[in-house]
This record gives sequence, C-alpha cells and structure tokens, in this order.
Amino acid sequence: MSIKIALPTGDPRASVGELLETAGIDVVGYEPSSRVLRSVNETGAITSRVFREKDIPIQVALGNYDLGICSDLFLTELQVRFPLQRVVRIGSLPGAMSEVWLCASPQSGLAERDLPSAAAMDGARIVSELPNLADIVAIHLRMPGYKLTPLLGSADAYPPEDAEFVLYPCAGPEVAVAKGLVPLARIYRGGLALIANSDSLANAPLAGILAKLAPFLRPGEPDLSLPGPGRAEMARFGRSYDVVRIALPDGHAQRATPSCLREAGIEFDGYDEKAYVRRPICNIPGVEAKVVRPQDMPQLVALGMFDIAVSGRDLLHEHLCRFPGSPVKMAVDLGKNLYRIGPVVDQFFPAETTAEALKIWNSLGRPVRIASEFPATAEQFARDHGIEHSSIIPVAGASEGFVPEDADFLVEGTETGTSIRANGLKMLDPFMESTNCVIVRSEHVTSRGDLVDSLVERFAQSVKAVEVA
Amino acid sequence: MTSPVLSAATRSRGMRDLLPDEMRAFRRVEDAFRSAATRWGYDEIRTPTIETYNLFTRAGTLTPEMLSHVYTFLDWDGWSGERVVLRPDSTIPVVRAAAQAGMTNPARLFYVQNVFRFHENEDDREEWQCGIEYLEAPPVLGELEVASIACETLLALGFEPSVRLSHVGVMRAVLEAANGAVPPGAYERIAAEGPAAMRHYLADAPSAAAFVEVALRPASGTSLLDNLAALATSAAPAAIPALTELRGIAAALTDSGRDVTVDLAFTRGFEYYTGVVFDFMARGESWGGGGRYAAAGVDSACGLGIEAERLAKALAPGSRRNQVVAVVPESDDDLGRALQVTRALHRSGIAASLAATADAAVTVVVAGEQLRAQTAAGTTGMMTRLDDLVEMLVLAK
Repeated sequence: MSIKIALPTGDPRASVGELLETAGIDVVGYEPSSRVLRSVNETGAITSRVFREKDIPIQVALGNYDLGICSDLFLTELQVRFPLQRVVRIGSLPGAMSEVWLCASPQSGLAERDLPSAAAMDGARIVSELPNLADIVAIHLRMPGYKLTPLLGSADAYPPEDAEFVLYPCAGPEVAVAKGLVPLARIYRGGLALIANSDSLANAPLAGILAKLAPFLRPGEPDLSLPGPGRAEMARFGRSYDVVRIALPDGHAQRATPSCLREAGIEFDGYDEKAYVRRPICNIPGVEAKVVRPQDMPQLVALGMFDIAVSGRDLLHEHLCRFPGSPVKMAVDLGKNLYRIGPVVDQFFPAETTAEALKIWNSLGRPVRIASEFPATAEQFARDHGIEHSSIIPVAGASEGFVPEDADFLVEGTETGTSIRANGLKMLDPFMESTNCVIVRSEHVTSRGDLVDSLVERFAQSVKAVEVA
Repeated sequence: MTSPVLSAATRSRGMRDLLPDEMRAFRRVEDAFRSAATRWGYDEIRTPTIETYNLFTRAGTLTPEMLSHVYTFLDWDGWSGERVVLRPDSTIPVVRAAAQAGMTNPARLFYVQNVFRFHENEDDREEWQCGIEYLEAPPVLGELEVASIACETLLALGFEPSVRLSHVGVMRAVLEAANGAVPPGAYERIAAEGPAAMRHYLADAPSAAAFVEVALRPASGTSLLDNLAALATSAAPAAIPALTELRGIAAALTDSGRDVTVDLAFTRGFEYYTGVVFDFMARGESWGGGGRYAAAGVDSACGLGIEAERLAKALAPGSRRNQVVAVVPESDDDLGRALQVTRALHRSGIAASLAATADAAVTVVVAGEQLRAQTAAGTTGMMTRLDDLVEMLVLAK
C-alpha cells in the first residue's frame, strides 16, 4: 500500500525538499525546478503530490492524502471555519515563521497596536486573502455590520479608500509598515506543520515515514490571538466619485497589459513589463489607478470600487456564473493572452470528445469530481452538459495533479498545452476561449461617466487599429 | 425508475427529516404551545429563513462563539458583497420584523420556526423552536406571563414542569464589585466553564467570594434570596435590586402553584440577557428557557424558546396514526359513488381514502347502491344509505 503525501509548491518547496532528503524520504520530482506535480517513488511506497499550500489541509481532511506538509496558517484558515475536518496536526517542522496582522492605513489616525472601539468600526470594510480568519477577527472585534471582501491577493493595496482594515499575512510588522500599513494587532504566528488524516493515522501503515520525520519535529504550536475592541477613534476615507478609478492587473496577467495601454494611448508612470507600483500615475487627468489581482477585478467593479478594469474574459465569465445579476460587463475584448478552457482528463482516459466522456461520467454511479480554479464555470459546465451529480472541488492552483486520482476531470485553461501534456493529461472539446478584456459597470457610479466612455473608446480604437494593421 | 445517484442520496448532515410519527408528535407540541400563547393574547409571526448577516453582527447580542457557527454565504446578488445567513436565532429577526412593520409596543408575539447553527460536536444543525417575544414587556409581569405559557405548554403535554430561576444581574454585579468592571473575557470563560469559573475572578475579594459560594447552591423557596441579600450589602450592593426582583418572581410563581428552584449558578448566556432568566425542567431535563433581554430595536423584552423537536421526539413513541377507512369501488362504475362515500365520512370527521383492495382494518366496499362495511372489531354491515354507514363507523370509532 502506497502512502500518499501532499507537499507544498511555492516558497516552502526548497526547504521542504531539503528536509525530506535529509530525513531519507525518497520523493521523486520535488526539486524546485521540476514541473511534475505527482510522482511515485522507486519502491512504490510513497506517492507524492504537489499542491498550493492552501489546498493541502483540505486534501488531507478529505482523506485523499494520508499526510501533508504545509504552513500552519492554511490549517488555521480551514479550521476556524470548519473545525470538524478530519485532520490532525502532528507537530511543527523546521521552516520559516509567518505572521498575520490586522492593519489599517496611516490615514485612519490609528497608531501601531491601537485598536478602535466597536462603535468606531460600525460598518467597517475588511479585506483579506484569508477570509475565514478575517471573519473570526471581525466577529471578536465586535465590528457592527462589517463588510468582508475576500481577495486573491494584493490586499495591502486596498486601505484607505477601498477598505478600513486588511488582514495581512507577512513575515512581521515591519513588512506591513514597509507596505504603507499600520499594524494594529498580531492575529497569528506559526510555521510549517506536519498534518495527517485522522483515519489514516488509525488505519494506514505510516510508521516508516513518521519515524523518519519524528526527529525533525519541533515544540510549539501556532499562536492565534483574537483581540476584542479597543477604545480608539478612527478616521475613514471612501473613494472619490469625481475621478475615474481603473484597476490594472499584477502578476502573470500583467504581461500584455502595458502594451494594450500604450496602444490605447494611456500611459502610467510606474506600470510596465518589468515593475509596477501599487498606485501608478496616469497621463490622463482625472484617472486614478491601482494595481490589484485580476481575479478580484469583476467583483471590485461590481462593488463600484473601480469604474473600469483590465481583466480577463475567463474571470468575468466565472464572476457572472456565480452572480448572474452582477452589473459588470465586458466593454472591449483586447484579444491578447489567448487561451482555451475545456474539460481536461488523464491521457489514458478512454474518450477523445466531451460527448464520449459524458457517457462514461454519467455511468459512474457516484458524483463526478470536477476540480477547477473556476468553480462556478465548472458548475455551469456540469449543469449545461447534464452531469447528473457533480462534486466541484475549488482549487487554488497546481490543478493538473488532481487527475485522475483526486478528480475525474479538470475545467482548466491552457495556452500552449505544455503543462497539460507534461502532467500526462489531455483536453477534450474546449468550450470557451479567453482573452484579456476591459470591463466596466453597466451603470457608472462615478460622476465622470464621460471619462469612462472615453477610455473605453480609446481601447476599442486601439483594437481596431491592430486588426487593420 | 430512481437513478442510482438519487437512490444513494442522504439528507444534508445535521438537517432534519420529521417522519410521520415525529410530525404527529410535533403537531401536538405546536398545538399545545399555540393554544397557551393564544390564551394569553399572543399573535403569531413568522420571519424569513434567510436574513442579512449584518442584522446579527449589528444586533450585538449573539456571542462571537454563536456568530462563528452560523451558515453564511453570498446571495445570488452577492456581487454587492452583502452576505446572508440561515436564521441562527429567532429573537433578533422577530424584533427586526416588528420594528420594520412599525408595530406598537408592548407587542406579544409567538412563533414556531427552525433555526440553523453549526455545532462542533453534534449533528443537530437544525432546531425547531416554539418561541415567545414579549416586546417592551413590563418588569415582573412579563416574566410571570412568559413562564406561565411555558409551564402550561408542558403540562398540556403530560409533563410536570418546574421553573429554574436566576438573574444575570446578580453575578454581573459581583464581578463588577470585585474587579471594578467585568474583566475582559470573563463572560466567555464563564460560558465555557460554568459559573464556578467566577471564583477565578474573586481571589482578592473575600466577601464577594463568600457571596458566590452561597449563591452557587440551588434552593427552592425564597430563603436563599433573603440570605444572599444580607450578604450582598457588603459584597455587592448593586446585586440587591436584582435579588429583590428575582424574589418577587419566585414568590409569585410559587404562590400560583408552580414548582420553583432558584439557581444562580445557571446564567443562560450572560451577554444576551439583562435580567431574570429561566429554564423549564421536567423529567430531569431542560425543555426550554428564556428571560429578560435587550436587543437592537427594543430596550427591554422578555422571551422564551421551547425545544419543540426534542419534545416531539420524547412524545413520538406514544403517537398513534389515525385509522383510515379504505373505500373500495368494486368496479369502475362505482368510482363516483365511492367519492360520495369518502366525502360523507370526511364531513363526519372520519379519515377515509380510496383503495383498490379491501385489506385494510376498516373497509367499505361500494358495489352499485350497496355499501358493505367492516370495522376493526370485525363487525360487518350491509346498507344502501350513507347516513347508516356513517352512523355505524362513528359508533365503531
């Protein structure tokens, strides 16, 4: 019987890889440069799978994996909301410590470690990449009528216009200060944890691997502190409705954006292919910009925080699948960053088309497991294609490794197909093409609707010009 | 044909199916409660299953523990960021509904509805409650009225109720007297560990500690309250009004023939309540409780919740299905006449339904003008007049 272990991708990968090697645990293809997401070692005793850290406690809790190594932060994020999960924290492993701070902006007038009174926080907006933790923090702070916006990233960009508080993961308060935030209270501190599924601990032969890891276990547990309200007053700032606010993408999606902006004659000082600042300066008077995560943009435009954004059709589609009444719409298809989205299965799956696959999936006699970074799109696909009983597994990333053991198929996008092929997968019939696009609200919230329309027109003209060329 | 997926379907964890036996018992509970509440002049109200999440975070009456165990999610128009919640409590929605409708207070309201809360160590995530909210209820009178409704409900169901009484103002005054204010986290700790955790906050206040040692011992009658009032003069003078109020309520309930126990160790959610709190005991268990509270939209109110579903479960084994007469048309030509027969039986309060075969305990076979009846006792009869048939079956019933 092979022991299944879930390992983290991203920052901890190098140190966890070193730890496993030192412990004499043979894990194939876990080198930082490897693109392999799943492997079985030479003796067949250990199956390892690389996940985004956030997915590891969930996979271990589901029983798909016997053991996992991940930051305590993500275990805490899961367990503060879902305490019944069948996951056991065995102990701490050596690794970098991380912290989570409740922060405000300097404009709030709050000093470091100074918490506002409950009345001062009435209706406060809190943003975070850790929504479960943020909820618990707001509840314990007795924030009356608080509003929580879950984000995929760039949370430090939001205060003061778009949020009063941010629950911010960082190495320490000095990092928050460097990002222009005021750290008010440390909510969490913890490191790397070894976790196990409770049934596996009772029934699976984990002794060999646990014996190898035991010498590395460290004392200590993650520290979660949930403060009550303080006594301070605080100032608040909303967005200005006399300007047009544009959201520009960070990260991977940023690649094509600077050229699209240039072609539209919209220049930003501090936003190019090599680097960006959070608030680049626009050459057009009356336009304010912020750089945020593109996945968050449809909701931010719907909420009226931004008037216009450069996002993706896939992200807009996901948003509209989830909230069909949302006032966000595509204004211009910029036509770049083209990729296809479709059902992705194991390369040996006995179907070449979606129609053939549907016959197989509907005869399984159990829920069809669909893993996706686009869970609402995946759900719509299942509904549209008459899948009788589906189980959607939302994933944070590295989804290619889910098939076939942990999911029957993925709803996944691919530009060149390289990553899909490298992981022994194939795409059936794509059902959607995605490109980058400009999104706006169907009804403007800014008084400068004319300026929004003019920006949209610039983008539209630039696309026409490219087509003509 | 049922699909393999549907045939394997189970209900969502922690949610309730009320099957016919339980449902009959549930209706008994509901009827007993509804009759008692109506006799006292209460009007029924029902609030939506889904409320805005903000209603509960703004009310400031649910503890962080309760708020972190609610079912909350984004609605279809959740792009606005507005979250909704499956009703985790009925009091706040009832207060909200009364305020939103501009109802005049005092308002006497009752309801029978379910609440949804996630529990860590048990599967019951849906609970049905019979509840009373007496908004702006006058002091003492409100408590006496609400406690009486609970007792009458339990008595109507065959229980011998006793009322356990306490007053959150007593222990609150002791904590404030010994510490200058209620220490941070004290409510949470006492809620988690029980009132014995009070001792932890009274190490440097011997007279308060002595008061608590006496107060933690339940007693029937009012002598304990008199003794505590004497101790409170030095330990916590602010507790005396609460003790006096409690004494008045305990004495009135005792005088009216109720079995009353004063138990100050019982606090029933320190934060939520502001005055007298009560529990309704029978057969060694609590079947509900309530007390004086304040919430956003109402300065002072008195409420109670009775655990309807637990009561129904306790009563279910004794709940019997009504006998149903099987009306059997002998041929297709007799269908119309069979319907006439069922209608006549229904009008006389006899349950009857159509059947293809005469294998039920009580049957009426319809063959042209002839009606052949057989009762559960084995009596048979043949007749042509509907009135004769009804008379025979009413007598047999």
